[in-house]
Amino acid sequence: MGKAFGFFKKNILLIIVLLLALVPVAGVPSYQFYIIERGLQNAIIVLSLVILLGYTGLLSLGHAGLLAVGAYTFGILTVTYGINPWIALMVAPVVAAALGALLGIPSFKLSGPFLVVTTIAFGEIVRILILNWEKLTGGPYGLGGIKSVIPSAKGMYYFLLVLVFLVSVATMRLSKSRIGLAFKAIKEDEVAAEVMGVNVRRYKLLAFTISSFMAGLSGALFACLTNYLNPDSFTFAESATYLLMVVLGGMANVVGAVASALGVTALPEVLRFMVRSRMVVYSLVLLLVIRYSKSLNMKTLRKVLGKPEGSTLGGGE
Amino acid sequence: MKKKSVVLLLLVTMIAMVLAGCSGGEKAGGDKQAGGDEQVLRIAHLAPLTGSAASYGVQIVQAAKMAVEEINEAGGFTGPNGETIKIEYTEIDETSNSASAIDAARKAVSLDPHAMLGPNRSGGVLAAHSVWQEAKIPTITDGTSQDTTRQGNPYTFRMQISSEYWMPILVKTAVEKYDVKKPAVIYGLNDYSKANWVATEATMPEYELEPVSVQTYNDGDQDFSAQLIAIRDSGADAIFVYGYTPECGKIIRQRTELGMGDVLVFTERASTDPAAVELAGAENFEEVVTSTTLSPGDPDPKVQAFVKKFEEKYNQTISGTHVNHYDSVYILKSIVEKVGLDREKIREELANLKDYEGALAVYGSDEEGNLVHHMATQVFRNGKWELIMKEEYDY
Amino acid sequence: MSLVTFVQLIIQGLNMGLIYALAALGISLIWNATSLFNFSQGDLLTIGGYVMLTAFSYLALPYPVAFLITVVVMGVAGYMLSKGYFYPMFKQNFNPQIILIGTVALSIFVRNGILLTWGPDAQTYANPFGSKAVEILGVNIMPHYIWNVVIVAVLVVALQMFLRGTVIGIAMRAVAQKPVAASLMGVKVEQMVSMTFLLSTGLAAISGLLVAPIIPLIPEMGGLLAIKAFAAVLIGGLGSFAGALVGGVIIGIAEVLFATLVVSTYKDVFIFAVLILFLLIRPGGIFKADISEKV
Repeated sequence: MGKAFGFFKKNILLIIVLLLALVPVAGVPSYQFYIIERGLQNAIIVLSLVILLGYTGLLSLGHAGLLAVGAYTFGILTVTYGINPWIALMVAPVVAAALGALLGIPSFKLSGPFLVVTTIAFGEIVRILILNWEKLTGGPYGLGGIKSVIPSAKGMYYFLLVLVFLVSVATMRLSKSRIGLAFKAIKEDEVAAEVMGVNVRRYKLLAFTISSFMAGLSGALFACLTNYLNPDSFTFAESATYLLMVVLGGMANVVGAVASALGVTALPEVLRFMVRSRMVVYSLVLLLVIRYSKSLNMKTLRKVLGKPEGSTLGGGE
Repeated sequence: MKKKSVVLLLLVTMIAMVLAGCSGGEKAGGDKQAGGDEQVLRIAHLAPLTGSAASYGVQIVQAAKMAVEEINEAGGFTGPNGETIKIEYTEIDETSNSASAIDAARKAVSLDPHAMLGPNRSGGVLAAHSVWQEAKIPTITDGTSQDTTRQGNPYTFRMQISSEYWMPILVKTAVEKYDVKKPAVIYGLNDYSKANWVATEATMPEYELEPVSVQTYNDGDQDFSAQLIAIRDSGADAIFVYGYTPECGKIIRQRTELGMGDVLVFTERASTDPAAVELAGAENFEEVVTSTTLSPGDPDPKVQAFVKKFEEKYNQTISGTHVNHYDSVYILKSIVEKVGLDREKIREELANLKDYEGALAVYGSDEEGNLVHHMATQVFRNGKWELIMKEEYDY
Repeated sequence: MSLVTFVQLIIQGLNMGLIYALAALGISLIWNATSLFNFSQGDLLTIGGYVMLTAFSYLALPYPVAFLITVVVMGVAGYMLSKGYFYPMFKQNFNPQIILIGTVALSIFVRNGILLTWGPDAQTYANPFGSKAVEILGVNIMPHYIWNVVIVAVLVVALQMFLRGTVIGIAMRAVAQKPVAASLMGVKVEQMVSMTFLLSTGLAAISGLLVAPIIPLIPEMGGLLAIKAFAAVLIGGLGSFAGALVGGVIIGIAEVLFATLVVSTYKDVFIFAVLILFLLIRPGGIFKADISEKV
C-alpha cells in the first residue's frame, strides 16, 4: 500500500495531466471547456506566485498588472504590428519580466506591508496607464481581434496543457536547485542568508524577474483565449484572487497550485453550483485554512504518516 | 502544507470535472440546426445583473420576461407548420464588464439558443461579438456606440439607436428650447461615454457651438469637484454629462453641492434610470434633460399603456431606455411564426424587418442591423419626466 | 485660478482627506498594538456604511440611534474578530505574512459578502446634515463639510483623552509600547488587543457612515478608498496619530489640486507615485512614529 501510494504521490502531476487530457474527447460542453482552459492559463500565473511568495516569501498584490503587460504586448504586437503570434508569445513574457524586475528593486529595502502596498500601487498604475493610453492599447474601447497562436480549439487546449505541465516541472526543479534553495533561505531569514553568502538583492531581483516572466506568459495566453482585452480584466480584485489561489494551493506546493487554479476558476461553472456566491465561499475557506493551518499541519501529518515533525515531508515540490 | 488532503481534493476535483463533462456530452457541438419539429424557441439574454449597470439590468430582463410570460401564458404561438411553440428564456449575467461579456457570451452559446439578446454595453458587444458570429446565432444587442454594428458581423442587430442620433436631438433641444450658448462637457473614460461625446462634438458646429470646457473622469471616481469647479470657472451655461448611472448620479448631485444648480444639465440614457435620480437626490434632478428612446412622459397611448402594465406588474418606476427588449421578444416570435426555428432564416428576416409595429415603437432594420430609428428628449420636473421633443429618422 | 476656486478645492480636499484620515487612524491603531497592517480596513469602512444604511434607511431609525447602533455593532464585530480570529494567531506566533494574508482574505470576504447581502446597486441615504449648500464669500459650503470636521475633531480629542486619561486607554498604550512589561504589570494583553480592534472598527464604521451620503455605497468602495488610506497612513507615518491625520488631509488635498491643475484622469497615478517615492526615500513617513507618540 505504501509503495503504491508513494508512486502515486510522485507522479501525481502526470496523473492529473493525463486526466485533463481526456477533457477534449469527453464531450465537455463548449463553455465549460473554455473555462477549464482559463483555469490552465491561471495555473501559470499562480505558479509564478508559488515562486515569488511560496519560495521567496515576497508577497505581491499587483500581479494582475504583469498579466496585463503580457496580454497587451501580445495583442499589440499581433494586431497592430502584424507580428507572428509565436514571436509575440515569446516577446510578451520578456517585456513583463523587464517591468517586473523594476518591481523587484523596492523589495531590497521594503518588506511586509510596505512592499505589498508598493505592488498594489504598481498594479493600479499599470491599469490606469493602459486605460488612458488609447493610441496604443485602445483604452476603454479595448483591443480586439486577437488571434490565438493555435487556431484550433483542441490544439490550443493541448498546447496549454503541455505548457502547464512543463512550467510545473520547471518550478519543481527550480525548487530543488541552488537558486531555489537561495530563495528559500531568503524566505526563512534574510539576514542569515546574507551572512551565509547569498546575495539577497540579486536573488530577490531574480525571483521577481522569473515570476514576472511567467505572469507575462500567462497574460499572452489570456489574450489568445479571450481574443479581446480590456483594462477591466486587470484590477486589484484579480490580483487578490491569484493570491487566494496560491494560498489555497499550499503556497509552495506546485501540484496544489495547479489544482487550486483549476478549482477556483472552473469548478463552479463545471459543477454548476455556487456560481454567485463563489468568492464568499472561497474567501471563507481561505480564512479558515489560514486560521487553522498550524493545527492542521501538525495533527494531520502526525496522524496520517506517522512520521515525527521536522522530517522532509512535502518539502520542496 | 497538508499534502495528502490536497492530493485527495485534487483527485475528487478531477474526477468530478470529467464526469460532469461527460454528462454534459449531448449538449456539445455547435452547428446543430434546430429542426422543424422542435417546440421551443430558445432565447438567451446577456444582461448586466451585477456590476454598475445592474440597476437597469434587472429592468431589461423584466421587460423581456414580461413578453415571454405573456406569450407562454397564452399557450405559446404557432409555427409555419402548425406546431405549437413556446419560449424558453434564460438570462445570463454579463456583469457590465466587457471581459466577462465574452465568458457570458460563450456560456449563452453553449445553451444552443436560436437567438440571443444583449449584451447591454457597447464594450461588451465589441468584446463578444465574434462569439455569436462564429456560432451563427442572430443577436439583438443593446449598446449605443456606432461601432458595434459596423464590425462586419451579419448576426449583430441592435435594439437601440446609435449615439450618432442620441446626441443631435439633445443638442438641438439644448439650443432650441434652452438657448444654450456655452456648453461644457464631462464624460467618462469608457467606450460608451466617449462615443457619446464624439457624436456630440460632431453636431456642435451645426449650431455654431464650441465647448468651453471638456472634462473627463475615470469610472469609479467618487469626487468630481476638480472637474466641476473647472467647468464653473469656464462660465458654462450647460453641462453635457456622459457616463454610466452611478457617475451621472454623483455628478448631478455634486454640481448642486458646488453651487452650480443653475447650470443646465443635458445627459442621456444612464440618467433615465430611477437609480440615477435616487443617487443624485430628486431635488437635484429638477430640470435635467435627457435624450431617450422611450419617455414615460410620452402622451402616446400605446406608450402609456405599456408603462402602466410594466409598473403594475413589477411595482417600480420604469426606466426610459432599457425596456425595448420587450419588443425584441415579440419581433422574434413573429419571425418564427413565419419561418420556423431556423437560425439563418431568423437572421435574414431580422435583416429585412420593415415597419414592424411594436408596443413601444415602429421598427425596421437598416443595412447595419439597427432596428430603432426614433429619439426623444425629456425633462425631469416635479419628480416626473415630461416629453420635450420626438424625432423619427430615415434609414 | 481664483482664490475662491482655490479655497473651494481645498475644502473639498479636506473633506475627503478627513475620511482617509479616520481610516488611516484605524490602521495605525492596530499596527501599534500588533504590528499587523490591516488590509481590510477599507472594506470594514464600507460595511459600516452599509450597516448604517440598514439602520437609518431601511429600518428608519432616527439618526443618532442608527449612528450608535452602527458603531456598536461594528465595534463588537471588531472585538470578536480579534478574540476569535486574529489574537489566537498572534499568540501562537504565526508567520506575520500569513496573518497579513488573512486580512486580505477578510477583505475579499467582506467585499463579496456585501455584494451578496445588499446587492450591486449604488445606494445612499439622505444627508442628515441637509443637502443645501450655503454660500460664504463665493465659496459653497455644504453643511456636512462643517459637521465632518466637527465630528472628526471631537473624535480625535475624545480618543486622545481616552488613551491618556482612562485606565483602559493607558493599558492599551502600554500594550502597544511595551507589551511584556504591560503583561507583567497585570494588563490582560488579549483584552487590550481586542479593545484596539474594537476602536479601529468603530472608527472605520464612523468614516463609513460619514462617507455614504457623499459617495454612494457600492461593494467595491472599500478597495478604492483603502488604497488612499494606505497612502495616507504610510506617508503620514505608520503608527503615528498625527501622521494619520496629516497624511489623510495631504492626500485629500493633493489629489484634488493635481486633478485641477494638471489632469484629473491621472490623479491616482500621481498619488501612487508619491507613495512609492515616500516608501523608497522615507518609509517611516513624515512623522516617524516615536515610541511615546504611539497611540
